[in-house]
Amino acid sequence: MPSMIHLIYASVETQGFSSAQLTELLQKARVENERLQITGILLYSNGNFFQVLEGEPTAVDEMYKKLHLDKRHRQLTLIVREPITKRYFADWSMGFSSVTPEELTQIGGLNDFFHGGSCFVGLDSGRAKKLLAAFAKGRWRAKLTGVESPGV
Amino acid sequence: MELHNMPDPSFTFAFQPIVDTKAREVLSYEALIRGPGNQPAYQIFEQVPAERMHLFDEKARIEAIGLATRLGICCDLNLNLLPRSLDSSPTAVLSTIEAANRNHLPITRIVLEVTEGEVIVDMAHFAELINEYRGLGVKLAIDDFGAGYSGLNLLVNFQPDQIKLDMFLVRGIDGHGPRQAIVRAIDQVCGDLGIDVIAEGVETIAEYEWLANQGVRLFQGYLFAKPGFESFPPIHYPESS
Repeated sequence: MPSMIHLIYASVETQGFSSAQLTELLQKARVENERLQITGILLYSNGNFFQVLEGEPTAVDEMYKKLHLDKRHRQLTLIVREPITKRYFADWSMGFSSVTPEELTQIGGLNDFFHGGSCFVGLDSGRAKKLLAAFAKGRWRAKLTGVESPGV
Repeated sequence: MELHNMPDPSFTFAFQPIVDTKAREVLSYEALIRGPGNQPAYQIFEQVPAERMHLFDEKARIEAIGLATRLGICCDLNLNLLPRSLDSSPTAVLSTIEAANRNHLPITRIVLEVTEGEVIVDMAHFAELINEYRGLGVKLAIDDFGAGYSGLNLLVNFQPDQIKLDMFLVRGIDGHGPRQAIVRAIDQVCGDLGIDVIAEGVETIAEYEWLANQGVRLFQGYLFAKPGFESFPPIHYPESS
């Protein structure tokens, strides 16, 4: 079995994302992550991004390097990069705090982290879950515009 | 005499629970080395020559897994590890993993505890060695956190799964400002990094209440349970006030 890591980071948007732009980001990232066999979760709330990437070390590191070139966000902050025994996420999905119930049902790859949080409740306890809980509580947000109450 | 053939002092274990007072359940039992008549750990260690200590350390973990399994453990098992064993013996952790496999104890239930003072020497090197085993599912705890000189710097290179607050920080915390400030800071850092905080050596209800109010929910100490000699002792959960 190849070794597996997860990498967790936070970043800040450079300009406001509209719902349509977030959806476009989601769809492109999903294709790319599937190709690289990267699973995980990306959260967006009030201009702050928080992402868990898991997969083979070379794929994850390459993706993180590429993310540095993306002008749509800045202040990439590496929180943890360490080996894991198994994938915690079955696929790669995204959660927006501003999502509407309609969008949740219509857009593939969108999760309910901020609304009910079944994607969170089902997660095995471990570093990723604890850090997602920390983000949900308002940690790791460089851009402070009030914390929206998450569904977890 | 060959190092491998030297007789070791007889030893066994006492088990002390780490409890989650919010969920009112046992998270883990820490295996504490004891003499056959419940003699304290230091009396056993002083009979082991320094050059044999890492072999003894390795053997102790294997025995602890056997005994914990016979007692029917169904939660995590915290085992002490001398970090230098990783350098002196290539089988230091592998033998622990094999013992877990033999006893049908999932590897993800094994938590290795190293003390802050022993890790400090070369953290990056230690991190590299131990991360290999973490990939197999072994968890890592830093014991006596806050007791040494490194403190929070330790977490720069390496983020363990748990830290155990040193008793010195816990003792009388309910009435001591500097201790409170330090523990608040540690708790904030650990929250940000996804590290569980365990308060060790909690003896009074006032210490417990201050820590619980701060959000700490994992505890080990006489207030909850004394170490049980070759047994899992009964647990007392304090009433929340």
